[in-house]
Amino acid sequence: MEKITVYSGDCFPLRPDREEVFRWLQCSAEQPCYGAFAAVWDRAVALLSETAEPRAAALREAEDRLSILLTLGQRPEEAATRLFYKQDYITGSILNVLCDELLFQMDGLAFELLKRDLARERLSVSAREEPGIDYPIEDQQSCLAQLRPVFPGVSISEHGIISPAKSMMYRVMLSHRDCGHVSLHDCSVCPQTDCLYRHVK
Amino acid sequence: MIPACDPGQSAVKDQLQDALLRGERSTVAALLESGAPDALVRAKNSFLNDLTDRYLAGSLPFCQLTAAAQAASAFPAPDLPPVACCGAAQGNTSAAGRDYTLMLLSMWGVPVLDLGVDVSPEAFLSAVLEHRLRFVVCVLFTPGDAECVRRIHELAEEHGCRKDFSLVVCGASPSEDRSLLSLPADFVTHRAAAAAQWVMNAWKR
Repeated sequence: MEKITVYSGDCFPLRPDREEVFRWLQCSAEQPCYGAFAAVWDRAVALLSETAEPRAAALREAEDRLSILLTLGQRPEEAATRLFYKQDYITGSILNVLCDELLFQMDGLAFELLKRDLARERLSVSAREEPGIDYPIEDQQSCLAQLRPVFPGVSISEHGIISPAKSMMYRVMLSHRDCGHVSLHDCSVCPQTDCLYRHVK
Repeated sequence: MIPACDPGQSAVKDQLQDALLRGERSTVAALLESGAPDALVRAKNSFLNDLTDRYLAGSLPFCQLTAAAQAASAFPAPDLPPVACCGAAQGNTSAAGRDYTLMLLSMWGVPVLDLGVDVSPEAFLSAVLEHRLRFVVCVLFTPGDAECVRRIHELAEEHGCRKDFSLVVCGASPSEDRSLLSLPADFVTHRAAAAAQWVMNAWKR
């Protein structure tokens, strides 16, 4: 892989899942407000399509680690805030959750793209580090500085708040063995039956 | 709930409650045109209080508060100067928490000044002094943003105006950092609905 690999929007087709989004909102068909939420679903999806600019980047920090940045850009959050200013709270709240759902979808898709690209070097993901847990803010800031030529508008505050808000960042450790305690790794199909993490997961 | 004086008034209040639950702003607007706006405001706030209590108790999903806020926006904004300001604390660049808090304050009809995001302690205090505000609502994202709250308190003490307003903090969960519970604020909660209800009750007292 290059030092910086960019994955464009074509890699992340929008697949809004109404039932999933409504589940996140706890808006079931039994709720009196369900009709009002269902009525504006298409509009919220249209707004997402118009404003979201999904992109991702992988920064090869070292031989054994990569930082991943996923973002929808600034416009979806601005669109949601405009809706709140107009007191169109229902559409705004659906748009907020749609953005989060899209980010999670991007996470899964980006991981598959990453595995494909790493496989060419006979490398695999062995672990994942998350902000606020084991991926220090200073390291994130350093990575974002290196990504600035391709992602100029993304930053992390000293308290760990990423901007634009509809973005996420994490780090993966690389290994020549496809193993470890990565949540996306399926131990049941892994040949390393004596792995320490097999029984921990 | 306020008991109805006559079956007609009771029917209107039932329609109002139903429209708030369904998020039907146009229905609320039609009810307001039919008259008795003051009674409807009282009925609205009484019902919103009930909805908020049920949400905070975990028996009502937040989407219902969102719907009620949208329907309640049919009520005209009170012709009053702002009594509260609301902003995301310095360091908090995320608009979502601020958006929801403003929504809930407006739902109650609290005249509120929006200060935006990443608001410095100086900007909060400046708003208090310029508009003689009674409430400052500071929205946190992480416990690290709490330094802004301490600074607002200190600046207000230096200006001798700390007793003139209530400092309300919402956002980051106190369970994430127990130090949030020792903030020099008048009310600390991680839920915007609780903050808005507290402001409303304190305002009306």
